[in-house]
Amino acid sequence: MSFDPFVLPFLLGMIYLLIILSWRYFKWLDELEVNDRYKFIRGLFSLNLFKAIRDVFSESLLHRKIFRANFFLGLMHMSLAFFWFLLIVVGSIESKLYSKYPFNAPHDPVFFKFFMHNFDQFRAHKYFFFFMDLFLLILLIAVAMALFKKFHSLFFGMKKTTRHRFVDRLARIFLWLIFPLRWLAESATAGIHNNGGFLTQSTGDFMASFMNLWYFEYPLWWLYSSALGAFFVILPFSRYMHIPTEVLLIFLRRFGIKNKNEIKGFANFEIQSCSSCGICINTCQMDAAANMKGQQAVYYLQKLRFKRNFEDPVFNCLMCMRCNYYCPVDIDIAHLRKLNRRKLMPALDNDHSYLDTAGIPVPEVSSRIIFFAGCMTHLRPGTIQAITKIFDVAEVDYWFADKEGSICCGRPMAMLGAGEEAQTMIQKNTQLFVNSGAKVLVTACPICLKMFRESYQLPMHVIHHTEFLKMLVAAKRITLSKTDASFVYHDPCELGRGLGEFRHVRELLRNIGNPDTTTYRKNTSLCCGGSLSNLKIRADQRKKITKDAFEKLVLKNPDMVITACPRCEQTFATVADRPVLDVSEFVEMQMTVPELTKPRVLVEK
Amino acid sequence: MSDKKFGFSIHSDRQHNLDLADKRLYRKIALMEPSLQRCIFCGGCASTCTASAFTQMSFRLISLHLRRGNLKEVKSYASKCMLCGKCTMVCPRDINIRHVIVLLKKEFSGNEF
Repeated sequence: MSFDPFVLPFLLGMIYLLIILSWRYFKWLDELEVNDRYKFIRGLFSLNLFKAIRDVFSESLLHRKIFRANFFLGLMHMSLAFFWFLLIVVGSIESKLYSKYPFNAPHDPVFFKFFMHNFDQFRAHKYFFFFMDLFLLILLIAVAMALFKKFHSLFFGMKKTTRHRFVDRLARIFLWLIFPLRWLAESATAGIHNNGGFLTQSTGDFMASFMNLWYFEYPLWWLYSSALGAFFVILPFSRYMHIPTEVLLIFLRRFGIKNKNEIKGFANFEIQSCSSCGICINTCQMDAAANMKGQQAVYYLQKLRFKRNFEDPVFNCLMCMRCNYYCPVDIDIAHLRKLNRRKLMPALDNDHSYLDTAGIPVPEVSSRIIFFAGCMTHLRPGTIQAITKIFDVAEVDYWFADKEGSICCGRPMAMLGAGEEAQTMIQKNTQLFVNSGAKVLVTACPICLKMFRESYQLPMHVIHHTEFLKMLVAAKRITLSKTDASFVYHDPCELGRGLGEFRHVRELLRNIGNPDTTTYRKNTSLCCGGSLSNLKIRADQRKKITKDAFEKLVLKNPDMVITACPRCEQTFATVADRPVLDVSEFVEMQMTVPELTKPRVLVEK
Repeated sequence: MSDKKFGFSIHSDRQHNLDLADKRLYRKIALMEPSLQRCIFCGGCASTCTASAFTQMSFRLISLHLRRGNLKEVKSYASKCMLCGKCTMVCPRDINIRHVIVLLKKEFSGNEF
């Protein structure tokens, strides 16, 4: 084991970092529920351990998800992460092979070239020199790319980049200094002792030609060690906390530990895994279209982590979950916002007793299927007319439960953090559905659908009307004809990213025609801007978002826009220059209505 | 008017002295959601209100009573709202009605008026 005072900054910094990390991680692991702690220990001895290691490789090192956002962005992040990892691992192997001893001090591989000059006995040294220098070269290119990104971020697909905190900028300076300083230090030693690879030897020889390396060599190693030590010391208080935390997050996820209902334990791992990469800034439509600042996911997580006022980003968010989807670390940002909504919303004094005295409508004859339009659909009578007409033609045995007006499903109230206060509404609707004796609940609104599936306990199938219409077509209860018109389909946030339903509509629409291709589809679909989850946004800001989303949707100039959500339909209709239709209206247009050959019987005896 | 023995006078319930109206709550809410001041009482919200099918309730009533300083009525109506959002969707003056009602509900939560 070698030693020189200059290794102290590195060593002390590393010990300090390990102490802080252990303290934090043990605290958070302790905050996990008992079940989750059990899962963690069990997971360590299961096959999931290897799956987790594989995930760490593909995401934390190779950054595959960032490549999906932009190739050069992925290349830059990957080069830094993966090749620094290789530098450490291969350097460690090099040091152990050289000393012929399986254990060494942590600083031995880091300052290897300073201490070890004679490689005559070490036969493989040429290969190690080559690869270590190759890794260093790639790292230097990565730092150059990062510097270039500051001036030309668009080259990396980032229209806007994160406005970093002062501490983050300082930490970045330390990080960027590490590799050039290593290069200079190793080159200085190579110039004197001839122990460099292709990069460090040539640089060392060049340096030797005009400066006295004996003078500069030692200070350069001091600087290198100090840069490392400074980076370690500042890491836990900066965005680079994501480096170790992300790894642990991946392990926790693989062991089956999930988000719960409080911002502690697992949530802390998520919050401090955010690297402030800024991909979420570019995907947030409130920023891109309406120039609204401060609520993007990265700033929300910063405010949450460093205990700043986060009331605005919590309530001023469309909860469209685009940031969720694009996050390379898969942080469930929408969930973290929702948790704080409950925290910041005081218990509201609702008086819904008038619902208790209201009678529950009961169908005249019991049907197998209930159709529930919901509040938003009632604002789109065209959709209701289309659906009821289709059901009549298909001779569906259904009961239109809220024909005379609905009790709200409760999701708008729940999304504001007041879910408990919506209990009366939930109870009355549950009674309505259960009393009817139906087996299937078909709803026209994805917002209600998500609420029924996730927050109600209904003893029946709950499906969206698009899935039901698809079933009707498949069972040949209705026949559709193809259309000559061109159209584009808009995936609603609640149906798409919210419930993962993309397939049913597309299978249904295939009977009518092929939708125009658009960049914004399925998980990358844009939000219409009409979301009820945003409590504070102004109408003019919403309009900007809607217009921008609509323009992007109709880039290929379709004749009409089709969507599966009444809220989206209404929002787009206010800015549209062409028809905006619900799927049901489109289907009704293309439906062939048979001649009535026999009297229609709505109830099969 | 007070010693009239015969004839009609305006019932006290229908007298509103706007000079004595306590508009502090109205001004407080208007600071946080300025669009509230644009209300023209067209009644679009009232016609679409989900709760109005079951009880007397609309944002129009809230807007009216808020400006008249009748806080008891404001609290009573605000507590009936289901926050479904239809009123906000149809408002021709683009008032963020839902935000106003949430602010009112928060004001009244736990306070006696």
